[in-house]
Amino acid sequence: MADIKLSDIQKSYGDIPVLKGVDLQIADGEFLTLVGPSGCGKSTLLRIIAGLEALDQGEVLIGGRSMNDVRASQRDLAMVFQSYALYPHLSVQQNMETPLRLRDMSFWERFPVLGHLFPSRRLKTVSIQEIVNETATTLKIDHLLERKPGQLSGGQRQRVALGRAMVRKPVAFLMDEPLSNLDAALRVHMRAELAELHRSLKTTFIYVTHDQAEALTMSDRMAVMMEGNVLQFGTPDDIYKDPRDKRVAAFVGSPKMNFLPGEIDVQGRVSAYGIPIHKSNHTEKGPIEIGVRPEHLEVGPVGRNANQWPFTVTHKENLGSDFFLHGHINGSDQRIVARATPEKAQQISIGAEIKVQANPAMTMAFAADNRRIELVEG
Amino acid sequence: MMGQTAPMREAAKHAILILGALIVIIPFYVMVSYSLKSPREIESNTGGFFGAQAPMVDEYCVKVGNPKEDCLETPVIFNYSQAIKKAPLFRYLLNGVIVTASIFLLQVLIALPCAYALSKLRFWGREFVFSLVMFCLLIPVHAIALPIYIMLAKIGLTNTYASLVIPWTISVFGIFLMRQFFMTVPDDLIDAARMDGMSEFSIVWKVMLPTAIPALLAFAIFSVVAHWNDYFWPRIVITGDRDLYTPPLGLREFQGDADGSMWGPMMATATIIVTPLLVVFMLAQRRFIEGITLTGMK
Repeated sequence: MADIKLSDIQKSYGDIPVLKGVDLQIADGEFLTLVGPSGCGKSTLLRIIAGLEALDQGEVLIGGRSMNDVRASQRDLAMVFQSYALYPHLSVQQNMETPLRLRDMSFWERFPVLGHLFPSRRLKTVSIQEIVNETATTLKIDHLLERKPGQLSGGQRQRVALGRAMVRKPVAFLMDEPLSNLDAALRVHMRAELAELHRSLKTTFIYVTHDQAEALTMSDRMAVMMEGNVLQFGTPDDIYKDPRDKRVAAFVGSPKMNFLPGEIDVQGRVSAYGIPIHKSNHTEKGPIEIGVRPEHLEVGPVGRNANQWPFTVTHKENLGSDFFLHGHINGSDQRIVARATPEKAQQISIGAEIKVQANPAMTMAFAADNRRIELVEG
Repeated sequence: MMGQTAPMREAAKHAILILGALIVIIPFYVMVSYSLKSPREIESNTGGFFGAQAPMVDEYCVKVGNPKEDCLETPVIFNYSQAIKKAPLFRYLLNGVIVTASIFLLQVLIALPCAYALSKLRFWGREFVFSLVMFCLLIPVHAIALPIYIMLAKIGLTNTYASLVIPWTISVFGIFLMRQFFMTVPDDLIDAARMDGMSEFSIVWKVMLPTAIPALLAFAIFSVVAHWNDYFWPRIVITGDRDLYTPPLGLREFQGDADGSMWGPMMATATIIVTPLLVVFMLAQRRFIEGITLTGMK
């Protein structure tokens, strides 16, 4: 058991910087997600932790020990790959035995034919088989042990890959988009299963994904990465409700947060499309961007309030429990999405001119450099 | 759909393919046919494929001083028994097996780590090294035969198995073929092996080799066929010792003696030499084609 500390990790491929000084502190037993769009450096960071990639600068500490000069296999980590990376010529059982045989048996004990001369080999083989059988039972793949990976479905391969990682009882599991090759229904199911597995194993999970929904649903804490930097590190709740950067706000949440052109006038009052939002800031002036999530745009008309935006509906998206209304405010060509209950949405047809209003408590403001601007009531 | 839409085109395609097949098959047909016929039938081009199999007189037998009646032979038996008797053909076949097997094993031993390094390891100058490999593909064997012969002669290796094997141990084609195949093996698989604790050499032999079996079989056939049938190189380095003759050199035994060429026994020898290759190819055909099309793994 150990905590993992990354300090000032830097990496570039040629002239292209991929990681620009990443600092992270991962607590023991935590489920941490590295999330970001493709090309943000999250996989590279995971590979650096694993020891598969050399770093240009910085330090990886596992349990307080620097791992910079330690080989991948000596770091006591296990990794689950997106393509599962099972050995195609070995059976499920042999796949799961491989890491244990390599760790516990000496070179000569593993040697074909000659290895049988060592009495210790027998004992080790038995204990390895026990661990494999136990893990296979936990993962419900004990009936597949004789098969080759080619004869398994995607979900089964996924479990075998997990099993191969679990048998070693590593200090941490590293997972590189392990669910992205599964179909949608199985992916949602495996999310829950992975989270349960994490709770029962009580081992650190470092999970890389580009899917913000996976990050929100599974992790204890998540690090949102973009362009080689960690933009924000916190609990999923914090990141969703209190994004510190416009890019984080835009990345997390589906459908995406709406951004409206707005400004702070000389009195510090905030408005968007000329309509005040009842919030103010007395230090910043000038044009800003107002961020409102679709669920915080109330679809009206709401009472007699004059402070509402005229909204032209261009498309309705039916999700069963909710409707998402796509449209434009004030005839601008920017697409805005608002959430409505099915009852309300039924009365609104495509092309309708309606009103929407932002929930002031949930409205955020961002400066031109993506920085979040604090707003106060009034 | 085929045949209905463009019957003429299909017919033309088949005609061209049949013509091509004939061009390839005719020499084999002639070889097998001659190995069955008597010298007179071969010279007069009579007797169809099998020959009349009328008893013939073994001229050599008569010359030695035996009465004519004792020297009567059926052509097939004469040809094949001469092939085995006149030259130690089984010795030659054994030599062929020793030489081609050693060449192939050494080629694999060198080509696989090379191909692995060129496809999966990142190091300075990798592309340059690979372009050198490609460049070597362009060098014809005959152009460098003489210098290699001189080198072998200087270190006193001519007329040894080593001289037959050593010049072929580095197969540039093998490196190229295996490298192309390894490119299709996902990097994740190698990383997984590294995480499991395998050394780079273990990865080559325990992960890459098993996944590359189809490509390796394809290469095996290229390599074995080329060196089993090679006449040129053994002819150069094996000058005296007949015990080192490979099967194609055995064919010389029947060529251009004082008695003139003995076509029947010669073709019988050729048939015996070719048969093992044909059998192996038939058995490995399916996997061979798999390997050529470089069906990688997912």
